[in-house]
Amino acid sequence: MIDIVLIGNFIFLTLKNAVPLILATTGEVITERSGVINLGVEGCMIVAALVGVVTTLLSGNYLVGLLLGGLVGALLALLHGLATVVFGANQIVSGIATTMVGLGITSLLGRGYVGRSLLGLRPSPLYPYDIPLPDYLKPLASAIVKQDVVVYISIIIPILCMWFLFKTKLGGAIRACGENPVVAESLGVDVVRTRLLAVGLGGFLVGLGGAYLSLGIVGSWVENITAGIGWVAVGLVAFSMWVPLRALLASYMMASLISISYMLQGRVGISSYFLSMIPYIATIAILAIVSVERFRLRLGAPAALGKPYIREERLG
Amino acid sequence: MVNQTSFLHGKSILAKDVVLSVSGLSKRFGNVVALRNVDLELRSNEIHVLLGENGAGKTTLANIIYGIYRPDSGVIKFFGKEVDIRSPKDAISYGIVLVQQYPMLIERMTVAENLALGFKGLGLLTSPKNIIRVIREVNEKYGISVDPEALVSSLSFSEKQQVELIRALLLNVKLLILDEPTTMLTSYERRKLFTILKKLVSDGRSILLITHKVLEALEVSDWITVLRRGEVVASRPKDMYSVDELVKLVVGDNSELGSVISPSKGGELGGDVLEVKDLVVLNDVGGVAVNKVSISVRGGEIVGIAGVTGNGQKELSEAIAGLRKVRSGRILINGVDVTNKGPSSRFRAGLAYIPEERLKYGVVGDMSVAENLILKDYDRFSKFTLLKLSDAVKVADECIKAFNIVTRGPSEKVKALSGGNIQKLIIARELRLNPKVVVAHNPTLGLDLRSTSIVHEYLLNIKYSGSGVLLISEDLDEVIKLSDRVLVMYRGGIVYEGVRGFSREVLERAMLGIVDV
Ligand SMILES: Nc1ncnc2c1ncn2[C@@H]1O[C@H](COP(=O)(O)OP(=O)(O)O)[C@@H](O)[C@H]1O
Ligand SMILES: [Mg+2]
Repeated sequence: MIDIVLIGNFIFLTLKNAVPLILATTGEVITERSGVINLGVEGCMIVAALVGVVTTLLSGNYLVGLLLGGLVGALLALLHGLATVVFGANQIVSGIATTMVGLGITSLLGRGYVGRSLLGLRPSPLYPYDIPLPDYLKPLASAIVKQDVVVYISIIIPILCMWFLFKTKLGGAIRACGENPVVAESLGVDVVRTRLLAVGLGGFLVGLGGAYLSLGIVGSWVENITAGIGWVAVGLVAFSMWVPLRALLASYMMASLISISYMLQGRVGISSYFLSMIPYIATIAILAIVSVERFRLRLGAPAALGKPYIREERLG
Repeated sequence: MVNQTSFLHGKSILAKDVVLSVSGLSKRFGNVVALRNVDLELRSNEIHVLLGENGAGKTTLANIIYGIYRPDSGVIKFFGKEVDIRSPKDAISYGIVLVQQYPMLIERMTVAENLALGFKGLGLLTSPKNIIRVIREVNEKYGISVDPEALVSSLSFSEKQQVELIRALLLNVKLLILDEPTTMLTSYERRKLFTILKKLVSDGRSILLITHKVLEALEVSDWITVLRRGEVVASRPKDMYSVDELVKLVVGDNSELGSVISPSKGGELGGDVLEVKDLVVLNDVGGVAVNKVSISVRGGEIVGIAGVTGNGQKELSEAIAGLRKVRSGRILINGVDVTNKGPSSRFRAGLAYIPEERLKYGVVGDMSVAENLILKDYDRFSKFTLLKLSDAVKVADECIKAFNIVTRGPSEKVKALSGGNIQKLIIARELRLNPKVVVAHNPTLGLDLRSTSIVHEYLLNIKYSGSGVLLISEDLDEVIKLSDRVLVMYRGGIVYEGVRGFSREVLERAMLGIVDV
């Protein structure tokens, strides 16, 4: 009996913990598909997390917080886009700067909000009623049914993005910019505009993920609330081979690792520090593998990922 | 005056309307003047050839009309109206489409997805599949047969080119510009292309065809404009030129055109300088690109490898050069097994490599001419690990003179050189070191007459000096002209082998995989 409760708990946590990962990874997949790496994911998420808390407290509605978190994520990402796509700045440098600015700004401006409770303002289960099932099935069923609306939306978004990227003309244009911007331009695509769009759209999803972290999971503002989740998402992009549906699966895998390490803490004789390191170790391993261009291309990375596009440059 | 309505009805009332007029167009890249005060008039329903050597500025002009480059000065009028073309998107909206020298398609997307990209009639969120029907219609009308759902990377060069033609038609092209479209085509494919182009013109469209081949210009054009060093030196109807005159116009006064070489002279053959045994090599995505290929080259001979682009030649040459891993099989250079060794030990064993992707593997674009020339034996020029540049410059001056490299001097950055001169630089560097065997991959691709004949002469000299040459080339004429033996590569394997006196017909059939037993 205790096992069922434990398993139900595990599933519940995994579905919930996966939400920021799904949204951020899918967003970054769209951005990277256009050929732009945004290492500012962590920064976009944390700013969105704070904006989410502040605006929810002000408006009294977490949906406002979520949306504004998304918008702020998009704006911050577009700043990175402006620097790299329009002005040709180095994508790695600009992305890391975005993250540092995000971390710095939130720790400064967030001070007054630490510990302020969102009681009553958090996303609540879509189905608050009792489940008409025998007791031994209840824990499992409620793990799936008693989630808030964002959890369900987070499953639909990668599916929508799948359709968008692979079945629409605009999605094709985004992929073309990621494969070969010179060719894309020659085929009539406005590379700068398309890349900015992909960066903004990706940033919006990343921001949503950040806002859910504070509103849906933690339930208040905590300094350094993201704790590297943004970097994990960047790693998951490669692990999911730049395919949104795989991003969904990869996020669930990573979230289950996180939930396991969380649940095992204090139960087994392994240091809790070590357990909470597991997701980060996995991330570093992924990033190490994909930093080799040949591996990356075999995994299906956009061929022009990270390379600036400058008009009138000789082709070779 | 221009007659707009006449265009709309397809047939002109005035015999020939001016479709495109360019006047006073100039463009520089840094110090290089690519175009100087160019004037050009192109009339409706004609194939207008823009003829000129490498570096004459042809591609630059095409790129400006298509909005890829911005001119420094000058006016472009389209159907009499001044137009400001800031991007290919703008050009397409006027009905101007450019088919560039190398296929400009996204390799890892399907034909339909590629064609949807610039296509107006689709909303942003509709599926590229919706144009498949239109593609089929165009296929039928012009006798083109390309599968809209095929991945572009699976197509041959000529099929990719046809995709670009379909693209132009889907965009309702009024002026089609083709930049050196025949460089990589077999003669059958070339004839097919010209048939399609003639059909397009009779449909009321106009064509600006760029080439550096004089005979080709005379073959297809109605009108020829000759461009030399960025300036228009002649522009008249085709019939008003003679062949000799046209050659003179293209080359200019100092026509020290490469003396006609007679490659038949053969010396004594030496021992094997290159042996490739049962070589298997994979391509970038893990497929088998070279399948159990065995080749041997002896000192004093040129062995040619013919084949249509994409049949494994690139992987083969990279594997021999040590730039790509070998799956199985062996490679011996001058008797030394180098199968699993890096490029530098191959070079020490006596291999010289003239790559196709010159800027990627051949030179370091950001380094100077002198530095590039001593790239392979720089240790001889250094003392206590410091480079002695004065010696390098001396060597560079000699090479520049001996190989006729056009550059502002040993300290100029290599990426500022034109393709032909980069090629001469690579050859100069490789030959300075007296190699035992030279592997050359498409050594004259995109080079003009003069540079081509210089390169050919060098390759023959290598052979006469007793070293061997493996010439991997997609230019069949070049292979026939230079080789003592020819192997034909098809789908990763050698399907045909012949000695001097080959029939072009047989080779062409073998290149398409048809081997008569
Ligand atoms: N993007 C570029 N950057 C610098 N120089 C260039 C560029 N494109 C062309 N050039 C130079 O302009 C001249 C004309 O080149 P191009 O138009 O390619 O000649 P063609 O097509 O007739 O062979 C050459 O000297 C070439 O080196
Ligand atoms: Mg050219």
